[in-house]
Amino acid sequence: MKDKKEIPVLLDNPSAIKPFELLLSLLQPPKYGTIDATKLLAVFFPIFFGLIVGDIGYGLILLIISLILNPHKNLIIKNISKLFSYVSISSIFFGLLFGEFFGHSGGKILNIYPVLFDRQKDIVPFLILSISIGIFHILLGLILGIIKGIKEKHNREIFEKISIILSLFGLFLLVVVMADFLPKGFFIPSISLIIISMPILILVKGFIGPLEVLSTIANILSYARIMALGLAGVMIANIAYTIGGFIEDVIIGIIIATLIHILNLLLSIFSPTIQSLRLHYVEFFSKFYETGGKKYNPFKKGGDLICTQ
Amino acid sequence: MHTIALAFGAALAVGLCATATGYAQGKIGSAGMGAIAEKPELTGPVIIAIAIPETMVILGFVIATMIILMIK
Repeated sequence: MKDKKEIPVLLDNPSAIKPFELLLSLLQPPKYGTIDATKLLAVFFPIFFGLIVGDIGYGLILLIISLILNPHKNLIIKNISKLFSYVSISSIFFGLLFGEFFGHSGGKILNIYPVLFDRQKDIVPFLILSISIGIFHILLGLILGIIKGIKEKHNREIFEKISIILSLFGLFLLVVVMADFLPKGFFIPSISLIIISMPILILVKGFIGPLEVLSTIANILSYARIMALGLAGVMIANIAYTIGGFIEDVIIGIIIATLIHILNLLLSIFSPTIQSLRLHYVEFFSKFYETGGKKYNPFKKGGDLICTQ
Repeated sequence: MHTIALAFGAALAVGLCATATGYAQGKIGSAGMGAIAEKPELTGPVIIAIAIPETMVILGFVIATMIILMIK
């Protein structure tokens, strides 16, 4: 089989994670014989979503809505509701860790306190957590890229990914040594790692090779958006009580607080979805995922019209 | 005085980044919707393209939070 472009692609996954193929279908299907990223999406997408929403109350409402919509006839709505039931369970889990039930005030009423950390006050630990998730995710992507390179016998790709990983390690060590977390003895290994990996990159990719390292660092920093969106969500949830409390009339105060919570709920359906998808599409998939396949579309008689393509 | 300068710096960091992101997203969005009207299968790539400039405002937001943490 020389002309692999012509082979149509069918994604085959267990029915439990079938809904995540919907997220993948926004892109072109993967090239024949490359990696199917559905399982990876099924693992990481709910984690990112949960970290951003991280609230028991919003998670419960999302879960109830998706369970109501689940027996729907339309297959796409059914899949979306199944998808949202997964991500809402993840947000309930992270809500327990962060101690939030419609913000912190609701959590205090129910006697829920932050287990991991308070997202509104401990901004720096949250930022470090998001960046470390980013480092892990990007490294995983690079390693998958190496595996893909070995599979397709693309030596260029293997050397490129390996030298990016080496120079990242070198830069990281250098920063840690500069910040006095490690003894000065690690200075020479870190510099030599960078010096070894740079010529390989330039040989493999030309003079834009070192820029690739810079863009990888930018990709890692981009995971700060998990912290930024999470913080914004908590702030809006907490502000709902403050604004509601300003108003003398109790009933109007409650109505305004509820409206702000509904707004926050709507925001926390759309923006975490788009942002976690973007983290996958732009940052993660650019390391190993190759699109360009043709979707397998069997000739069949369906409903009242016949598909010919 | 010190606090005012820090607060002003934080405001500049997030405000300028947001303006730049808005400008970029406006242009990409209008071009992208035109592309989707012609070819609906481009929806995924267009969503990605619209989301790319957001990195600027998010990094600006992180810098602003860092500066505000310095005030305390």
